[in-house]
Amino acid sequence: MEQTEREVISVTELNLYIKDKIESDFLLRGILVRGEISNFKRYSSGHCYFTLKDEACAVRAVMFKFDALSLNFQPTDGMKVIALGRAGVYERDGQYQLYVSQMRQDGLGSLYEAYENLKAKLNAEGLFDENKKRPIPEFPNRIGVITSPTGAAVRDIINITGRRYPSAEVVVYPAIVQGSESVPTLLAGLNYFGYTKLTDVIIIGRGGGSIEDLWSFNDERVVRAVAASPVPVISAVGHETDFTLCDFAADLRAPTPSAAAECATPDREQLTERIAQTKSRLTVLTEKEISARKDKLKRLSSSRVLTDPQNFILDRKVALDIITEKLTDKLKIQIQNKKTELKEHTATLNALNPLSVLSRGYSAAFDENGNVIKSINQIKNGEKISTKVSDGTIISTVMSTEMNEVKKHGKEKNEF
Amino acid sequence: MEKKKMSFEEALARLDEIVGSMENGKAELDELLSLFEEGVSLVKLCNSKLNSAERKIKLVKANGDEVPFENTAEEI
Repeated sequence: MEQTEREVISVTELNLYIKDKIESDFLLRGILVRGEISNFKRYSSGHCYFTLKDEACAVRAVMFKFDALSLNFQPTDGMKVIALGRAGVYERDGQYQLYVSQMRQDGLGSLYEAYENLKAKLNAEGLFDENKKRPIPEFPNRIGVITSPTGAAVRDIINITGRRYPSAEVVVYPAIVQGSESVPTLLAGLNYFGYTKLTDVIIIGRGGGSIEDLWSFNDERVVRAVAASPVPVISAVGHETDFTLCDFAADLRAPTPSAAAECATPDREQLTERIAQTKSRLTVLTEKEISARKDKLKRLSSSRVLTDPQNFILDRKVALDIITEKLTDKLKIQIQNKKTELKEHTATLNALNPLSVLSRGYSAAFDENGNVIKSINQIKNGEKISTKVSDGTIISTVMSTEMNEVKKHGKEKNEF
Repeated sequence: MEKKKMSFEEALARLDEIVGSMENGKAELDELLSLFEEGVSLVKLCNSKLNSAERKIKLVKANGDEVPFENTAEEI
């Protein structure tokens, strides 16, 4: 642009030139900027647009969805931050702006330290122990809510409990949820629901805000009162990414007040469905039982013993006959066995009878007195003896006696 | 008459109990029918409790009184 006759350029060319100038500057590619957020807007696309300003100046800033997802806090107007980003130009508007990739809250060092120290201390005391957590009652009659009576949180809780389970009574204890007067009201609310009236569950919380706004819920007195509450407590402070010490001490942490309302109530739709199912189960079971009894009655009344008693008796007769037959057979066999046994015994006895020897040709001689004659010395000549043979007795008179040869020689051994 | 005082939770628990004792199939016929009647009336009770039109939203005042929430919300 050194020519005397200056070249005419379009706006687009100008903006692109400026864009190139700025974006090629190495220093502007990674700068840390301290400032206060204003006009913060998060679009449905997830991209965030805001202005960073200090006492004198302001600069437009954009944080794209991908980078915004990594934020661990909810940026709000007035919040002091340190942003990391690059300077760039949006050529359509000729506007230079800051493209922010990371952002943290400014001046929170001491707060975070206090938070971490108290958390460690209460944790060591067992205030956050999992086994201290009580179940949230399934069907609350009375829900105590400790929050600001004018905030969005209380509206959300009333709306959602009403939609899900309108028969529960919701009692709001009006608390101041931020600032120096907050803690006594939170403590009074916990005391009211915990000790003075029968309440089934307590919701304590508030909507989103800066970490300073939520600070009452990190107050040691409030955290201890939540842990000690005789009634189960649901803590719902800020947004999903905010964790206060109340959340750790409560029986249940809900990410938002709306979620707390859901946790505190059963879903009426589901319950209605469940009751309808129970009703149909009742009907089905009753019908089933009755029809089972009908079937049984039908089966009994159609059994043969009732429909055909004659046959029933005949059957029994046949069975009796069969048994009688079997019994007789058994008896016959027994008698046969005994007969055979008797025959065997008789044969044995016969074999042992001394008279049976006679049948084999032996005989026995008796003197007149009936004594068996075993020696010639027992009789004298002329005496009568009787000799028994197999078929009778021979009577004879002794003519003489002769001693065996062997005996004569004085040997007494009898050969027989 | 006891039914009227039953909480929703108790009514639901009794319903489960009734279905349970019907399921084991040991009930006498008379008992079965009276269980069925009781069950049906509990179903009515549960439904009426679930659908009660009257919502109770209250606000605790400084003196400990509980007043309807809507009317006082502005004053606080």
